[in-house]
Amino acid sequence: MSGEKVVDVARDFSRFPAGRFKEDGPFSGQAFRDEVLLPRLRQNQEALTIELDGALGYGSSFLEEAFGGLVRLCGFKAADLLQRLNLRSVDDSLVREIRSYITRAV
Amino acid sequence: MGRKGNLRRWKEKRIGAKRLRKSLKRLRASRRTPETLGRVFVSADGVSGIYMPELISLSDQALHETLAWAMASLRSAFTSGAREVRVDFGYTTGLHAEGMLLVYAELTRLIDAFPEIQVSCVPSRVAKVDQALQHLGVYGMLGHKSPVAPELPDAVNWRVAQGANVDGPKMGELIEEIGRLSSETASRLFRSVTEAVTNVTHHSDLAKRLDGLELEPTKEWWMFCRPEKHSLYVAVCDLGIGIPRSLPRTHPEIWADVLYRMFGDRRMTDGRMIKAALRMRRTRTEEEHRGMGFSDITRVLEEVDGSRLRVYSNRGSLQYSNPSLMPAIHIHNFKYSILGTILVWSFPFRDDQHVR
Repeated sequence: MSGEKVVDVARDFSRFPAGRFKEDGPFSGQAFRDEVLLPRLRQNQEALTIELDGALGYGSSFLEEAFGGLVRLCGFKAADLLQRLNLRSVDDSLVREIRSYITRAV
Repeated sequence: MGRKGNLRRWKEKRIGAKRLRKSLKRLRASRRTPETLGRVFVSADGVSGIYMPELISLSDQALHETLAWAMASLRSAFTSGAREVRVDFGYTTGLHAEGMLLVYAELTRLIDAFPEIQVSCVPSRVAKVDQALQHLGVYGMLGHKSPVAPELPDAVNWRVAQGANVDGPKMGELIEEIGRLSSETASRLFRSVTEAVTNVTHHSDLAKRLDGLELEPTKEWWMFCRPEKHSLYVAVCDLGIGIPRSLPRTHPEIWADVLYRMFGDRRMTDGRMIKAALRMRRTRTEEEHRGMGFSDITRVLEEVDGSRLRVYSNRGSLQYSNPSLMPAIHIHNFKYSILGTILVWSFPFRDDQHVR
């Protein structure tokens, strides 16, 4: 457990993530991807756990830009990403939704 | 009877008509006739003003017409060259969330745009309205120092937030303040509200608002929450170009076909355009990954029985009910445009329990 890399969205980013692009607002999907996800993913090739509970909610624009954007814009392969990311939430539909954004991103 | 009798009856009629004219004149002068509400007045001392409607609401044809006209009058008052603009709430006896949000947004925008114009107001004579206007800061905005201390639930339950981008914390904290929503519903509502505001920011640069003020488009939004005993209202407003004007710009190739598929012809009304917008996912950039916000806006309704969404945009409105209610969608078209968009989610509270 000690070696596990964890990103807790509420703790490491914001309890109120919203918006797609950085110009939309301070806690956008693009900001989360560029400032939180990308540095951790590029640090090493290990699995990364994303703790989603704790934030008030997630709009589709935020989720698509943050996770789908990793494939569309940052050169990650959908299959690799799905394998490396461990998405944790009590809301299964949220996890399914994020996985669908990664799968559908081209 | 003869000629004398006819003459007497004619005189009586004349006198009656004269009295009627006089009483109508008095009535108009006392500003009690409904048609003067929502209109501009100009007083001898260079003050231009507006009588606010009795019920500030958009909820039916007549109320929508009066309030939209009142807002046009308010804009005229600010551009009339008057040194002072007075907003008269003296005859206002009721406020609905969507109507009051429009007034609040329009006033904020005009006061910011015309800082050189002095503003003042006549307070409402009805305690709950008076207190709500004080609580919301409308009196303060209009330079009116009211001694009223809001205490009625109808007044102090109102919550307001405003911003100029997708400010998650502002919107989220307002939703959390409500306190009577289950975590699932609060989460879905946050998702709906933030996606609505994200849409506003992405479409704000499409064109100028047709209000004759020639102000640069902004990404400003305003939000009200109003928990009542049996229901909760959450409303978000922007004073942009509105959904009916943005749709042909965001979906230039497909919007006409979507109208045809939905209604059997391509006749445009603002109500139809709103309905078409709620069904569309593709965007002006043709990027499939964008334009998903509208499904988020309605998703919260699927989780709460009896919940509703009302969308007012320019001359149209759409009511979308929880699928358990029939019929699910109503559209309406109105005479005047509100020159903006207001979304109102309403949720029933049952037995003072959390909405689940």
